[in-house]
Order: sequence, then C-alpha cells, then structure tokens
Amino acid sequence: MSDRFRRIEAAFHAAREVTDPAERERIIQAACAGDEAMLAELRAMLTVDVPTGFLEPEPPPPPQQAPQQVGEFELESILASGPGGVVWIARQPSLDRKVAVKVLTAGPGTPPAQIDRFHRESRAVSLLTHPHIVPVLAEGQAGVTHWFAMQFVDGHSLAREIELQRTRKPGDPAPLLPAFGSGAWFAAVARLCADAADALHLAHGHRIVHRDVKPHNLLLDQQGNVLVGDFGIARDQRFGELTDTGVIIGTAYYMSPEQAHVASAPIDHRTDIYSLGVVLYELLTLTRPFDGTTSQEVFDKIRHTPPPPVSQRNRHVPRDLETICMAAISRLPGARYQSAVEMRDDLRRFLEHRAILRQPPTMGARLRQWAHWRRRPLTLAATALVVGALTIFGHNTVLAAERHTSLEKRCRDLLATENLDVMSDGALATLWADIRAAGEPTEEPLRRADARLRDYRDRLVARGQQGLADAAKMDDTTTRLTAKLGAWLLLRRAEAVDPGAPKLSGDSSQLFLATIAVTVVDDDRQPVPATIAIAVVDPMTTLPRAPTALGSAPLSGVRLSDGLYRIIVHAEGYGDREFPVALDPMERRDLELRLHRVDDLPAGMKLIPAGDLYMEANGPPTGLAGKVVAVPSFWLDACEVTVAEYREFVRATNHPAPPFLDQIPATHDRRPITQVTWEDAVAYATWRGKRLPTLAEWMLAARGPGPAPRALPWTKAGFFGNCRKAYRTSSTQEQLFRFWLEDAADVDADPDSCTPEGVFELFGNVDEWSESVGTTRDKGGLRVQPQNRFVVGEGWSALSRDFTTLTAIINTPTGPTYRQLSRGFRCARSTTP
Amino acid sequence: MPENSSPDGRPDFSRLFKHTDDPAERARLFEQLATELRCIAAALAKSQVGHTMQPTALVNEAWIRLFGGRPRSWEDQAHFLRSVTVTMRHILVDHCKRKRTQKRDDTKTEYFDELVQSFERRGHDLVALDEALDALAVEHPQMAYYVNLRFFGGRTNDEAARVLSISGRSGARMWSCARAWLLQRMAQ
Repeated sequence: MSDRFRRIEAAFHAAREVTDPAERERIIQAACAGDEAMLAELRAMLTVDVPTGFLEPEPPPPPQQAPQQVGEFELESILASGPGGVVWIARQPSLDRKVAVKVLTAGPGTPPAQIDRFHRESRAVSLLTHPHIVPVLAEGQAGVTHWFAMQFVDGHSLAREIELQRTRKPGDPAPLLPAFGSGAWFAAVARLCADAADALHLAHGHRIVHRDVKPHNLLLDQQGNVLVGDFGIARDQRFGELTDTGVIIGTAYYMSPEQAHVASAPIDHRTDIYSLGVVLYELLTLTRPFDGTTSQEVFDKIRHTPPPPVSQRNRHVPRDLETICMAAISRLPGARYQSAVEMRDDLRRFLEHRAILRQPPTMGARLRQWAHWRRRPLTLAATALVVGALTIFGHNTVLAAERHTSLEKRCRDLLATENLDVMSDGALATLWADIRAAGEPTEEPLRRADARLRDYRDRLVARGQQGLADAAKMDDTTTRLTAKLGAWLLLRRAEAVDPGAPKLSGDSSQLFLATIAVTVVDDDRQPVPATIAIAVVDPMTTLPRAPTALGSAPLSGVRLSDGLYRIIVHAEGYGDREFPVALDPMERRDLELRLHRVDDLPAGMKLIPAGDLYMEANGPPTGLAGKVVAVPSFWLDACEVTVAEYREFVRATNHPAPPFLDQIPATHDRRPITQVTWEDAVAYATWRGKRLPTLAEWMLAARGPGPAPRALPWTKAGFFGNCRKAYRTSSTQEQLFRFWLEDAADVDADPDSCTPEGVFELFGNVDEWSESVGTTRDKGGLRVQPQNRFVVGEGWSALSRDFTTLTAIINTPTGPTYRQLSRGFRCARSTTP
Repeated sequence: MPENSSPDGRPDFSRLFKHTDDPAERARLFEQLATELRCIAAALAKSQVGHTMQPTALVNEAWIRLFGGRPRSWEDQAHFLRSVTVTMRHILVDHCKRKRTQKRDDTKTEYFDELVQSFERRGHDLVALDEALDALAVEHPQMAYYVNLRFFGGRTNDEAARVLSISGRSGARMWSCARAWLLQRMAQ
C-alpha cells in the first residue's frame, strides 16, 4: 500500500468518526499537510453520497443446485432463507408427515466456522427435549450439503403474529392469540413467555445460550403454544467459542447491551433473559423499546437512553407484567432475573393471581437509574445526585490501596485533584481522619490538605442547604423531588467526608412529606366553619384507622407522608362528611372541600351491619387475602348511581359531563351511569354527602360475614345479572354506546341480583369503582400502587363465566381520562365516621 | 490422457492451486478457467434452477463442478477464489466492452448478458469500475482485491476477509473506504 493511500485511509476513518464539519475539515487538513490533490480526494470521499447497494450483491439467492432430497426427506418448498441456511418444507415418507429441513450448501469461502455453527445447532437442540423447543429429528451431510430435519410447526412465528395483531390485511390468516390489549391477550402473552423461559432454562442448564431470542425464532402452533426454534447462533459453552470475538450476531432490536458491545460485560445466559424481556415488551405494547432503521441507530439508543416504561406505551398493561418486563430488560445483567426460571416463576405467579417476587423499582432506584443514564449531569443537583449515588452505593475499593501510600503523598495527590467530587467519600474521610490522627497539621501538604477538605465540606453543606431552599420553590413534583434528593445527598456526603461533623441532613423521610391546605366551602363557595380530623386508610384492610383531630378550617401547612387518607369534616347543619385524598410524596395540595346540604341522608341506602369478613388465602392479590377483617357497620346504596341522579349532579355543580350523557334518552334514566372517572365518582359521592365504599365494605356487602360466606355470584350457577352470553365486538365508542343502550339494565330490574340486605347488582350490570387504593401482595408484604384503584364486580359487557373464585377485582389506573362504558359506581356512608 | 486432465476427462484444476511464477503458464490456466466458467454459465442459463444471475451462484457452482465439493485446505479455497474472481472480472468487463462495440461473441453468452444487465440495472458501470479498480490496485492492492471478491465473487464480508486473512471488522472498514474512494474516482 502506498504511504499516501495509507494516510488517506486513516484520515477517512478518523473524519467519519466525527459529525462536526469543521472538525472533519481540521482532521483531513492535518492529514494532507498541504497536498491539495489529496485534500480534494478526501473531501470528495467524505461528501460523496454512496448509494445504498453500491457494489453490494443482490440478496442471496436460494442455492442453485438445490438438492431434491436429503436423507429420506423430500424437499418441497422453501419456507425461509437466510445467511445461516435455507429452511425447506419437506415430507418424510416413512412416517407420512411434514417436516422442516434446514439446508446449508457450503460454497468456496464458506468459513468452516459457519458449517460448525450449523451442526452445532442440531447438536445443541438434540440435547434438549422440551415441549416448547422445536425438536430435531435427524441430521446429516452429503457432499457440500449439510442438513438437519426438525418438527414442522403448523402455525407462524411470533413476529408474524405481532404483524397480524397490528394490522390485518385481507387474505391474512387469523391470529393465533386473543385480540391485542384484552385481558386474555395479557394472559396468553404471560403464558407463552413463561413457556419460552422454561425452555430457555433447560438450554441454560445444558450450558447452551440461545443468543438470538426474537419473535422470528418463537413459533406458534395452531393452539397458540410457543416453540423456541433456531438455535443457529447458540453458544454451547461446552463446545467452546466458535464465532470470532467481536462479531456481532443476532438482530439488533433484541440484543442485550452486552451482546451489542454497548456494555462491557461477558455474555452469558442472562442475554437470553434480556432478549425475552424485549419480546415481552413488544407483545405488551406492540412497540420495541429501542427502534431504529439501522443497527447503529438502535445501539446508540441502547447506549444513551433507558427503555421507556411499558406503561408509557400502553397504560393498560397490568402493573406486575410491566415489573417483570422492565426487570428482564435491565441494562446490567446483575439487575435482571438471574435465571430464566425466576422469570418463568414470576410470570406464572402473575397468571395465578399471586404476588410476584420482583419489586417495581423504588423512587430512589428510578432516580439512580435516571442519573445513570444522564451521563452528563445537567444541573448542580443532578451532579450531586450522581456523586451521591456513587458514594452511597459504590465500592470503596480504593481504600485498601491508599493506606500503603504515605500520608504526605496522599495529601499532595489530593491537592493535585482538581475536582474533589470525583473522589469517593470514603477515600476523603480516611485521608482526613489520618491527617487529624497525625496531630496538629504543621507540615505544608498536610496543612493545605486539611484546609482544602474543610473548605470542601463547607461548600458541600452550603450547596446542600441552598439546594433544599431552591427545591422548596419548585412547583413540579418530580423536579422538586430530584432537587431535594440531590441536595440531601450533598449533605450526606458532607457528613461522610467529615465523620466528626454534626448530622446535617436529618431524617430523610422528612424530605418526602406532602403538604396540604384545607378549606371548607358551601355550594356558593363561601367558607363554612368546620372542624377537621384525618384518618389514615390502611391499604391492607382498606379501612380507616382512628382519626386524629387537626383543628378548624381553614388549615394550611399540614405535613403528611404519602398514602390514602380520609378527611372528616364536621360542620353545623351538614353533619359529618368524609373526603378521600391520595397523596404522593412531597406533593403540595390545596384541598377545597365542598359541602352540599342533603336531607335524609340514608334514603335509598341499606344498612350493612358490622361483621367479620373472611377472605380466602388464595383469593385475589389484595391485602385482604387470607385475612379476617372486622368491618364496622355502614350504609350502602341499594342501587348503582343512575343516569338521572348523575344528571342532577352535573346540572347543579357544572361538573364536566361524561361522554354521551346528552345522548341518553329519558327511557334510560334508571340505567347505571358509566364513563365516570374515579375523581368524578368521588365528586358525586361527596356532593351527596356520601363517599365510595372500600373494597372490604363491598366484599362484606356481597358475601356476608363469617367463615362460610355466600358464594359469588349468588344468583344462578354460571351466570350473573345481565352479563353477556357471547362477545360482541365493537371498534368504536359510538358502537359500544349503542351496546350499552341495549345491554345495560335498569339498576333494580333484576330481583335475582338482590342480596338479603336488599342491595342490587353488586355483581352485574356495571363494575364499580371502590375507594380503595390498588395493592399487590409480595414476599416482603403488601405494596401500594397509589395510582391504581380496585374496581369490583363485573359489567354488562363482560362474558358470563362460572366464577368459582372471585376474580372480579381489578387493579385499575385512575388517571383523569380513565373511563369505561361498563364502569359505574355506588356510594357508601359511615354510620359513625 | 492429457496431463492436465482428471480421469473423467475434465481439466485438472488442482494445478490452479499450485503457485506458478511463469506468466505463460498462469495465462494458460486462467484461460482454461475462463472457458470452464463460460461452460458453467451456459449450463446454468439453460437449467431450470438457475433463475437468478448472480456471481455468487456462478462461483459456488464452479466450485462444486470443478472440485466436487471435496474438502480442500483453506489455502486451496482462497486460491480458487482469487483466481475465479479475477477471471470473472475479466470475462464480465470484456463482455461489457464487446457489447458496447456491438461485436458479437461466439461463446454462449446469455448468462453473462444477464449478469452484466443485473449489474447495470443497479447502476453499476462495469467498465468505469474496472478502470477505477485498476487505479485502486496501484494504491492499495489488498483493498482492490477485497472489492473483487465482494463484487465479482459475490462473497460476503466475512468470506472475503477470511480469504485476505484479515478480521471481519477490518474488512468492513475497508469496504466503506473502498466504496467512497471508488465512487469519487469514478465521478472524476
């Protein structure tokens, strides 16, 4: 190679690494050193638009000399072809069955590694007998033709299924799984991922890593069962590494960060867990966490951005499935499920309505993760956050090594360090302690280091206190939380660096308290004198604890930790009123509680006597499962809130009306109101002087007290209320609304639905919002999902099934737009608030 | 039986693998290979299976026909590919030039017609490329050879890199540089 060309080549590659045109120009100018012709050449090379496909071969054709038969298998038609070989549909005459045969015709230059890889696949798979792995039937070689036969899976790949679920063109086959987004879909998805995880676990047990788990390689049979196929690039740890190191194989979208060389971690079985997590993500949202048109683009995204949470792409995804999915696609292998069987078990727990073991990331973990992705911290607070996170969670591995160096040298090193933020607090603390232990610092470097550390500590404290003061002024909860945590971490670092310093940061939990202000007004929004008490609602029992008096309205600056509360207002002429309030950490909320005069409060309500609610241990995953809860007596609306009642509320208060309200004919006045959000339901209930029932109250009303409760539903075997006998599909809300007109029933139309206490349709007509905050049971106890509420019962659009256990408790998000045509509510009221 | 024929009467191409410094001997071997390639091409053009005109197919076919896919040392394979891709390039470029000057070629040409057209359809000017490749060969013979293998031999990056005993990554870098250089050269 000529020296001139060597310089051209080097400059070309160097310039291509940078995107800034000025920087490019600088690089090539330097390389050419005045050679104008060379400069022109390089400029042309860098600006020339290389057409895609220039000098590239056309896509590889099927092999020219396709054998008609391999072994006893008669090749019929090509199913798929790729660089790893061609898959044929073939017939096996001896057993008269269809099989799939993968054929590789070795040409000149076919690297022996590729042939090895080909046989490795059949060898690897033949070790694995599993109902969810495509079995290998036979393998062989004839001349340049290498082949192996597999079971033919009558169905299609998951990739095709996803396509069909996304858009189905005329002539396309029917999807093999239930409709996307339905409850059945999520169940099917969880089941098939659990099965695939089980299959991968077997492979991992044989020390085989698949390394190419993606929807194309997961086949569905006609029954919707999944089979893992194509172990074409599997690495069998027993046979050693066969692919060149540094060769990236697998499809970019599903590649783990370590496989994509984004993270420098060795590739092991956890790469498959990541890829399966991406498949799960795609199934839950029909989108991929990292998308792009080139693999480079995809890798860049994997490198620079955290995967968007599943719920951001599809907020209907059950929380536990999201947790499982996000855990599987953790960037670091150590943060994922550590074995496929753990992932499988959590998926099965989800399917069995049991609590999963994996916890959703805590606020702190999410912040740390956020800081991790923001490689370049944007603000002072964020810098502190990163430093703090390193300090608290990093390893102080430097410590041992540093003891060996002389104190003086360590002091000089400290003085030479421009920014002390980069040093671990442990290193600084040890150094400072050693300086102090050496007595009054007199020697120059020790004295200066001592002064510098003192100054550093003081600045940390000042920055931290300033940060706390700034944070208090911020309006947005997340920014405030981030800023506060950042400031708090600075104070923590100051304490860590100077162990003798007084505790400055205080109790961190104080930082996260919410602040509320309460005013009580009447219908004309005039202040009403009232006394206020507050009760914490126990998320496990869903019942309030004993209330605490707060004082007289108006109140401000009340500090509360996050959770669900009931505010009890006592005002002359109004009696006792209860208002639920759910608080986020650090939230600031100004509550205006409106009182509306109501005569004869318990009209239309039934008294449910106090009683012990017995819940089965294997019941739905709420805090109630396996518990006996003493529920105090309460009033409960005999009927669901009707259209007419809700209209009255909307007219009187100008509360926003739900969609279609104005289109409901007068004949439907006694139908249950639907399409109301949780906030709407609470607004209505409190306007009526009532509240929503809690989950425990609803259960007691439906089942009665005692260890032998009545079965749900209590109406007729296999049916309840007006739930449907068959699905009616509808694509639009307008159509659903028409179904509602036809199928929903008047709230007291069905005498069979009435409980002995006289409450109608607890289990039919519409499902109903409860007051209670969503929870999931967990190994470590109960976890609260503050954004969710329990919904109880079933609605007219549900399929009538034989409910032997109560599955009709749903954990549902409460966003301001979350409304459904099958969801209504009824009100409750405490007898003694 | 001529000394350069195998028992079934076909030329013994194992001689191709023996390095020879004698230019006359080399030219004779290349001529034989070219003849053989033309025959294979003619057969392919007639055969029902050969519906895609691709250098990959032709080279693979030549490998199977000439050597029956018998296991060969890697050096043999590399040598075969070097020889066959250079020959391919000459055949194709000659064919292209002849077509342009309206001269008739008396050998079976349908296959090469198709092949040339398949390149031209994709906007490749074979004659200009040939000249640019000659210029590149002066500057960086290995890179020119790499392009030969990829373009005229239909080899993948991994295969071509292996023939040159370089890593796949070096091959890919070479490919991006070569494409840019050749394009700017052809645009001159």
